[in-house]
Amino acid sequence: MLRKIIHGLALILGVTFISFLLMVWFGPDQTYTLIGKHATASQIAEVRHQLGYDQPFTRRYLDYLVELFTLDLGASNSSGEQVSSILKRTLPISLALMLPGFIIGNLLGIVLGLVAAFRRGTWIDRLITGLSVTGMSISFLIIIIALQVLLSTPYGFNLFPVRGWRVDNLSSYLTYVTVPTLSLIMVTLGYNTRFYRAVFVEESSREHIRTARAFGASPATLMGRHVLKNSLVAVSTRIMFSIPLVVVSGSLLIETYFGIPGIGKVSFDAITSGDQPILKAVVGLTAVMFVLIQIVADFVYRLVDPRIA
Amino acid sequence: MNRAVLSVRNLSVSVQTGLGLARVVDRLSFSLREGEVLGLVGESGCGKSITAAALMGLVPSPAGIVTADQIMLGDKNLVQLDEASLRRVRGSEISMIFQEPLTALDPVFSIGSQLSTVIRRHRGENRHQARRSSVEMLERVGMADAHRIMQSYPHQLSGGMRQRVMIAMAMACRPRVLIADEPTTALDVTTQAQVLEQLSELGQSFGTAILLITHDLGVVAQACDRALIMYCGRIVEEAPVEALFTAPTHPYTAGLLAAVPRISSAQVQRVQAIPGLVPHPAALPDGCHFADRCPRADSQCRTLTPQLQAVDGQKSIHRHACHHPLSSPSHAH
Amino acid sequence: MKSPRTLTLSTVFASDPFEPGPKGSRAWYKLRQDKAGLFGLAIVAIFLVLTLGVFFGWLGQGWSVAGGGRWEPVSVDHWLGTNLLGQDIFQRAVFSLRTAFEIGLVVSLLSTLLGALLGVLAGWYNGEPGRTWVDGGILWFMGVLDSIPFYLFVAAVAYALQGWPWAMHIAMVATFWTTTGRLIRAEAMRIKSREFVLSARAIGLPTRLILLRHVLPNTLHILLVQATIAFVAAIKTEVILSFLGLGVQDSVSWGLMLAESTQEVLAGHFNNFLAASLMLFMLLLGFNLLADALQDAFDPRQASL
Repeated sequence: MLRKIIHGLALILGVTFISFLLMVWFGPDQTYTLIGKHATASQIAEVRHQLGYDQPFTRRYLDYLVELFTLDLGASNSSGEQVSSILKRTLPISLALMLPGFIIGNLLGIVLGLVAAFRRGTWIDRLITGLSVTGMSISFLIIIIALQVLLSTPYGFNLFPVRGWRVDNLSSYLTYVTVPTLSLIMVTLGYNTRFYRAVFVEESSREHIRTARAFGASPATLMGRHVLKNSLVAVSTRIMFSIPLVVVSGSLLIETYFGIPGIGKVSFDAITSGDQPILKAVVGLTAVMFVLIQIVADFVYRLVDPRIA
Repeated sequence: MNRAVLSVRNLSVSVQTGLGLARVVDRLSFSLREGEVLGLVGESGCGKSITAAALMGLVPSPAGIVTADQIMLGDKNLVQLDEASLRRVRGSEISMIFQEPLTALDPVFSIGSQLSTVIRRHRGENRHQARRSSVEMLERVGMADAHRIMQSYPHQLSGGMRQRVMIAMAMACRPRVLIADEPTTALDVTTQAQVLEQLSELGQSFGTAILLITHDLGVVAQACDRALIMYCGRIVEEAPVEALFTAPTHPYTAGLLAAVPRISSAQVQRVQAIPGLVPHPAALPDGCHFADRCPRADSQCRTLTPQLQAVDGQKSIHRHACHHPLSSPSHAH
Repeated sequence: MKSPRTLTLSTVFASDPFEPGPKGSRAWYKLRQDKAGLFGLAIVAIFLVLTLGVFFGWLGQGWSVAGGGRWEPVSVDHWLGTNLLGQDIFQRAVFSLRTAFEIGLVVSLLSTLLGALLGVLAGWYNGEPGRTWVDGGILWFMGVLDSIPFYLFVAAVAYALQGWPWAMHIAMVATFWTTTGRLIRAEAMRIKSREFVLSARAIGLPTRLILLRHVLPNTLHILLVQATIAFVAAIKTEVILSFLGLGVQDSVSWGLMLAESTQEVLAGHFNNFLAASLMLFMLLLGFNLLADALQDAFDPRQASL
């Protein structure tokens, strides 16, 4: 446990250091965006002092770490809003946007992977693996644009709004979430199915599966009971460790494209405008999330596999 | 003579290899009699394990092709059963235990769960009854604290205990036939003897006939009543154990016996290996497959396949497939 | 695609003594049996020829010329019509191949190289008394890079090094090498305990030579597959970055074409979108199929067939 915590701290230090180096030290200079091109030397000096640009490297890095651990993340450079309140506002939107697609995409992947692994070598396996490779070859962008045209414009079925997020009840939620969710499922399904199929194929070639067959277990028992339970470590690892990436990286493109004010859109805007407090907070908190997941994962492993003590 | 509980006629298995279709089991016929322990002996790769898989109906179907005139288990012809009926037979009327009990048991289910699942499946007992039967079975195979074992997982037990659990699982439904595929190979010598003893004792009291697959002639001597010697997918000799060790008639059997190191009366004999290599199953020679390694082979052996026949006249149960058998004194039963 | 035959066979025979040739020729033999893999190889070959055509100046050179009206339909002059500015869509779609191949090759080569070197070092020094810190350090570095949200990292690097045309390449290499690194590390740990390496150490061969002559060459099959996968990932990422305005600036890329097309498709002009999508899809499909076939061909668990 102590080892875990030390590893976790080392990881957080590393991530925050790299992100600090890239986004803050080498990142874009905010001075002139804030006060315009025609400023006096004293105005410039004052703004640079406010932004902390006049501090030495180590001082600014340590300040960042302190901010991160006290969750006092400062205010956005561009809007002046507190970063913590921005996160509080945008994170639920991103979760509401991404979770349905994430869950359905993984469940479908597990089901298709089980079917393909069980029917290994037959036409249905070839169909599923073939479609997976095809799905992996279609860019996220193409899927988003094609689904938008197909479902949200007069050239297709014109059923859903083209973009935006004006959600106040369940029906408006479903209206806005459908196209992004379908996009997310389509873009991840190929990868998920392939991954899960490989895990299930590996597990179904184990000797104890042959034993279970020799004792009269049915195919449903073999796949649903023995193969699935033995695969739980691999399955839960994939699901848990992709949560931060889906919530932050995955939402960046979807939210930017559909104009949804979630954490991905905020991060993207912060990148293009050089809004450091937001970037520092997002990257730092993602690293913290990874460390927490690692700790949770240890408990989950112990739960699903008696060999891990 | 007891009647046969398992009678196999012309069982063949072919698998696809890089060199084409290979017949790894070639027209095997034998019967297993009530209450007997029959050894199926051969080097690794001779087709004994795939024979076991074929008897259980466990050869993966597009990869291996199984044909047989009949596999009679009691009054059921397993060749003619569909998959669902076969599943009802597996684990209840014909059971199997494996070489490495650590990998053969599911690592993420407790012993109790795996044992009672089989009992519930085949004996239709409810959860409570099945647990009680499981504890009884574990005690029957000599596990003192059966209740603790029920809660354990395979990795928490020793090799010998794991194999006992396998035996308990396989015998729980009092099967007619138990196939034991190298059941003691992964165990140390003292445990080997105990497990073999346990097996024959249970077979006796449950009336279960045992097909004991092994490469180890010591195991045959210790546990079997009769033995089949297999080479390249064919039975080359079939004999009561006593006759097999005192008067083998097939040159391959004789070669196997000469290759066993033994220490007798302060005199250490030199071990003799059989010259040459086992041929690849997709490129077997014509005639007798052993001819190329056999000191007695002639041109007839390389063209004409010897058939399994009685050693001394029709009545004998000592049979061999050889054109030039070693001369045997008329000791046969 | 895994064939079930091999699974049974390997349980029947530990190894096939009649199987001819070393690993490479066996893999080539298996590759030739793989229809999907050959299809992928054919696509890759066609795209390679087209790309060479672009590099030598025979194809797609008029990509930036606004030689037509806005949104002209398909015609003899403009095979796939024109875009908003009257530029020829076919020429732009073909010229984008050059962009894609350039970034794909650079990123896959460099990230594979980096992954191979650091992976071998980490695997070699794993459990080596006094030197485990090398392994620990490299593992920590991989963990750090893997914990930074990918697009955010790539975008941040691209933005931090703004104006410098290689920013995007650097960012991708920095994040892509970790997967290769982990695989090579595991393989190096396996190879380290093999006899030929033990004997090389026993006769006192310097570590550097052992790594270069004995360990690295034995990971080539993994590197080949990983390079193909990195190639695909680099092109996909380039398209998205260019779309977001963080990638290609003074050239053309399918990502830029897709960015143009987002407004066009809402007005009912699909040529730009279809051209870029199809080119991108076929290229990725070809490389994905090839990567799959390579992986199957080199899979040691199927070596007995």
